Amino acid sequence: MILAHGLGGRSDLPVPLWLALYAAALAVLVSFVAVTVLWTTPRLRGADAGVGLPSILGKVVDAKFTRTVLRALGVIALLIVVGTAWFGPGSSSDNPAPTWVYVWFWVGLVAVSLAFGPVYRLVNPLRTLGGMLRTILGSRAPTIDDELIDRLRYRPALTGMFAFLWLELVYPASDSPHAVALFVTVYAVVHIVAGAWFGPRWFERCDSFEIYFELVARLSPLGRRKDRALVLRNPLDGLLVGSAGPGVTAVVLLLLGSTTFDGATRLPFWSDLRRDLSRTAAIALGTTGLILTIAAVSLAYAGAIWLTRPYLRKTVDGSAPEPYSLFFHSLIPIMVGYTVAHYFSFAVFQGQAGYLLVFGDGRIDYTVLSTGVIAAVQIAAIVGGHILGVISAHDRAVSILRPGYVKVGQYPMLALMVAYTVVGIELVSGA
Amino acid sequence: MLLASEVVQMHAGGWDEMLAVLGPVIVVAALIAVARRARPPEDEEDDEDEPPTTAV
Repeated sequence: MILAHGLGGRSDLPVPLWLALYAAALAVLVSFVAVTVLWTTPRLRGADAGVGLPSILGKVVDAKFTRTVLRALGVIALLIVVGTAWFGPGSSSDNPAPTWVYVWFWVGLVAVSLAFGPVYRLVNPLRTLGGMLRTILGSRAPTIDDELIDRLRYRPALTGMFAFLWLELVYPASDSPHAVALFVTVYAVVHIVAGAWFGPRWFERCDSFEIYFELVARLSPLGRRKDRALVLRNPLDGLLVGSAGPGVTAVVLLLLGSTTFDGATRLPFWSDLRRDLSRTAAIALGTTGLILTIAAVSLAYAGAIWLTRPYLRKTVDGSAPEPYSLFFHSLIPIMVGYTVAHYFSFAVFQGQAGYLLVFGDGRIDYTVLSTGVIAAVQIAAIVGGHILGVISAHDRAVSILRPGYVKVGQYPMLALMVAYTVVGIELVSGA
Repeated sequence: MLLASEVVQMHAGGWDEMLAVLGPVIVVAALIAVARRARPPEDEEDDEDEPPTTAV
């Protein structure tokens, strides 16, 4: 028999599911009550916040030598991955390239970005190669038109990210080295050429991976202040630094929806649905499921914002502010929490294959983490992400909601956070 | 097996499973209901004189 809500699946939780769900929902509610009582004025200062680090550190990070070495390492890594994927063994059990891409790059760089900030921007080989190609093109390259890039409103980034997520989560042979090689090659060529043609802003607004790792890096305790000084700061201040708007909000919702879909596909319910399907039907079902999950997560956010709308203060000219990107930054810790919860054990276990396949014939050590530790990290990541989301949303709400309605005006976003938390825990517990 | 009977069987987890789902659903529904009921009238003026200068 198949049981809904994952109760019949493998469960890593050290406590009963109902207790985990209630405790998590309660943690979100209690943190909301605490901030409404203790946090009555906006405190987060974004790019103005941070304690300066010793200037020698900034000089080393900004040194031309450091930048050149990082760029060279990025290009070398890209060439090794593409070469291994195309010309190495044809199976992921012998070829490390899929592990490098799905684990070391896609998941590992989340940890690196959380620890050190937007490092990928400095390493991004596509940015380096695009810049080199632009230099070669010289006067034949068009003048940089940043407005044109802005008018694209993150659509190339959304397309590229959806293509990658579809490959990872829907395509049945997603671990095939040749499938990975094809994706990386096409993605790299498109972005190198476009970056050379449109200039470096292309990568800020259109390179899915640079945007993703920049969003994650906003939660890093290391960052840049407005005066460009390297600082240690409250990660919640970092959430306010960087671009905002409907485009980047859509990127966050796409990522949040895809992680939710990934969790849903690990439930026994999904396996049962797919069991007797042909390859084409399975791809159609997966594609539909991915789109519907992203749509559901996005609609839930849009619904919460729609309910919040009447509570928004009017801007100086008397008009209502554009509401959908007002709270998007509070979704970033939730997105990162989901990512950690879903991919932590995958990264620790499967990540070992990335060097075992190169340096030896050892086996993956599954004893490095107990199921209890994995479950604790999963719950802590989801609940912690939502509590940070509640706090950052509250700080924004204090300044943009009508003075007499600050508490009740946050109820729709609070309902969204509780719903996301519960669904997130249901999915990791049943996976 | 019919989808309907499959769905019924999936929920054979007992009271604990029903409560695990129902509790959070009730919390979410209550928050939404209160937010809908307490919303301020459209034409009500903000009673502080420092409105936000920009949307974000």
